[in-house]
Amino acid sequence: MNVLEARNVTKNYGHVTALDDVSLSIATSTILGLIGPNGSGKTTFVNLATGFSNLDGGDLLFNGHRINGRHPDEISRLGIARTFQETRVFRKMTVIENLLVASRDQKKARDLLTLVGLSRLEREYSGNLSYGQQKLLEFVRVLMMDPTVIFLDEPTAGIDPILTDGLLKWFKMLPDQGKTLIIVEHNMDVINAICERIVVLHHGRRIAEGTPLEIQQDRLVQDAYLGGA
Amino acid sequence: MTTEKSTSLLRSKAYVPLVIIALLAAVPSVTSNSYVLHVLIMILFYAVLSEAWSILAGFAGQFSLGHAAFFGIGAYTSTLLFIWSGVSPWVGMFIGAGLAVVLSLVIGFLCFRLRGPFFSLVTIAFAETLRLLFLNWGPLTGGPVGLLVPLSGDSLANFQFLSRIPYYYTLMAITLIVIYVTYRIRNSQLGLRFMAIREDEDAAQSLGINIIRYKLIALAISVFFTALAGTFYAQYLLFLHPDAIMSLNFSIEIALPAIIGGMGTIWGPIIGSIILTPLAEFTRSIFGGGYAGVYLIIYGSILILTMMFLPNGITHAIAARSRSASRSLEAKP
Amino acid sequence: MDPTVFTQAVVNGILIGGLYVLISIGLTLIFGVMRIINFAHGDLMMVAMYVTYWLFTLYGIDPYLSLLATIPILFVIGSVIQRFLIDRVLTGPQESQLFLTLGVMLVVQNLALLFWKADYRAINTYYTGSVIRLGGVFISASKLTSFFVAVVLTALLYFFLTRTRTGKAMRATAQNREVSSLMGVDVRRVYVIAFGIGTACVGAAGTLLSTFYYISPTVGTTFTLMAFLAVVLGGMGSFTGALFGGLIVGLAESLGAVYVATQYRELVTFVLFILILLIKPSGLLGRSRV
Repeated sequence: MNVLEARNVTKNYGHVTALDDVSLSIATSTILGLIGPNGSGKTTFVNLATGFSNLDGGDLLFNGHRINGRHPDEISRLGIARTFQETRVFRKMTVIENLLVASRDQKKARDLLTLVGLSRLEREYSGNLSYGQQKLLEFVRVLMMDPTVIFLDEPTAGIDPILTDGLLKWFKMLPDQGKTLIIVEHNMDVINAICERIVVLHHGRRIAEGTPLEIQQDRLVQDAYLGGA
Repeated sequence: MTTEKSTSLLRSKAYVPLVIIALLAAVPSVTSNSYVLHVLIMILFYAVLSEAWSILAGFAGQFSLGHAAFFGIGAYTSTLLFIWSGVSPWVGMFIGAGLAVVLSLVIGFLCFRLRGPFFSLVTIAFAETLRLLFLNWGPLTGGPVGLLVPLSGDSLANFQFLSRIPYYYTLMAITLIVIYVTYRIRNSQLGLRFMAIREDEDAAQSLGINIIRYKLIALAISVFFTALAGTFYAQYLLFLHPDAIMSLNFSIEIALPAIIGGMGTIWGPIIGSIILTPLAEFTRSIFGGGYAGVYLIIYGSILILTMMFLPNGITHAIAARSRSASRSLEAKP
Repeated sequence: MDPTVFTQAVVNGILIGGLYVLISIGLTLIFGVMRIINFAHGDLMMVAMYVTYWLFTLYGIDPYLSLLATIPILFVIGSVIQRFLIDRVLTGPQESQLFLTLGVMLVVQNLALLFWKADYRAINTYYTGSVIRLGGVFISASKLTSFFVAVVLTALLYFFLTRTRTGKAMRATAQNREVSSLMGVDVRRVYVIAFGIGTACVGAAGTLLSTFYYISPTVGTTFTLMAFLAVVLGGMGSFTGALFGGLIVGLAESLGAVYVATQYRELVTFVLFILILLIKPSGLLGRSRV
């Protein structure tokens, strides 16, 4: 069964159609890439799937159950988590406090911090962390919820190559734990490195879907987004 | 580095409260000066009110300017139950608090989706509505004449004492409970979630936090203690009037120690009350009855200056300074 | 329901509404340009009322003439408050700004109580109490004259905002501070002028009001809340909204005075306020720029 399914999803903002009759199915324990030019509807889709926006048409299903119109906190508790484009750590709270907000499991929090190398900053105010460290924090914070599906909104934007490699390494571990990742990205190297499948959006429509190789060779995608081969 | 600092802070903070409690408890044996006791009672009174207010404001980030309404509900409920049915104010206190909490949950549920200043405005409107209702409901509340609490002399059962000392100890107990509750909140996931809501509601929601539910919890705790203080006031001063205890001015007075001392901290509102209340009492004794509002000029000025120079309050300013001091110490080669 | 009584109430409502419009425009201008909720608004009006009173009582200056004094004086007071107090907190959290204006409210109101006591005062000119009769309707001469002056001042303000450079700069800043700044607008100066004008408006309203309304240090709070109601009704930050809201509040108050028992009049205002905030906080016209 598909863990997440979108059926004819439509979303309008006034006269602008952000998503137009988009359907897609996401299998469990995979990494899916969601790409497309700016304004193609990627973040809108993430907002709809995580409850921060309401659908104007169509259905969203999580493990077969409709999640249309549910509040973000409900959806989060069901098992769909997300990070934000602009890192939104709780700046006036310490690193470990950020994690404990999600779950009281102190051991798990410390283990996650050790995994990503933030242990020594445990009691530091997260507002004082560097941009890269904050992105790491946001990532492990989401993991504290033990989610089934994770939407990562531009997780490597503004991150140096070494840290990016680290992030990719951890992302790749997640399907083995039964988790599904959906990564919204502009960095095609990142997408090609870890995504098993890619969905391409353009003007609110799904114009292509396939493996990284198939997408690279797809003419439509090249014209719309990637430029020449 | 930072780990060291945190644990040493924890260690020192443990015995400081105990020392303070011991000192406070010892006061009546050192002096029986009625005026000194009164000032101390007033300091504790505003400390309790402000600490309770701060649970909603400092932790959950909702700035209510209508808390006087809940104070009034507490005060009038216990008093009226006493007048009508002889119910002991000790019991009436909790009934009043319960009523206040229920009303607050209704108001909160309706209003918590309003952003920042709009929420404050609607709390003012609700409080004023209640004040006007109480002011005009003569048969119930005595109307513009006010309501006298029937004298019972020295009666523990009726929560009335001839000496200030029992009032002092009662209030001290309430204060310690409120401080303890605040402390438990601050050091629990509940408190962390309140702060998360205050910082970033969307991010908090993405972590499974039901915003309205948590705000209502903060509101309920805050209002409960506010209403308890209302009953205490009724039993201490023995006279109730809507313009005195359900007014916007009083709501502001409730908020002030927390704003000045530092919201979202355990000691902020208390420090605020220690600074502000004696000022008010002192001013009142100098200027006398004709100029009852002079202390408000001082309060207003302090509020203006604090917002301009120490917008996060005194405790945060001190904490920030000690943080940067310890950091500059570490930076030395 | 007596038609004459109703007409009388409507006329009175419009007349007082004109003054509410002036007060509300001041408030909405300050909010529109700076996003400041000015709790001290009504109390600054009270200051103008007292200035008018003393000019009349000590020097015999007619209230309408003293507009020439109260408008500049209140403009200066407003500018000073903005320049030295509010400017400092504009970059901070929004609650600090709110608390600051609350502080100003406390100081102004209680200074007035200290100097002038809580006694009600009134200005009694030769035309106080004179009434004009139009059809079956009786109109207070002061209310009528004040209404016309308020209309003129509102029109002047509209002209200022739409035709002058400073006015346009102000509207630009209200819409987008960064862009305006990039286009050469001195944003800080705009803020000072906006607060000054907003206060001058409420100052003029105070002078006009004092020709038929009692004067007391606590008068301000009621009008601040009325102004908030009007501004929220019409949409925060909207000039036309303030026009609309001011008239509605005036009419509601006047009709309420006729058809609702005295003790419940203020209550009606607050209930209205709560309802609009809960149901349509962006205003009846939906023009809020929050």
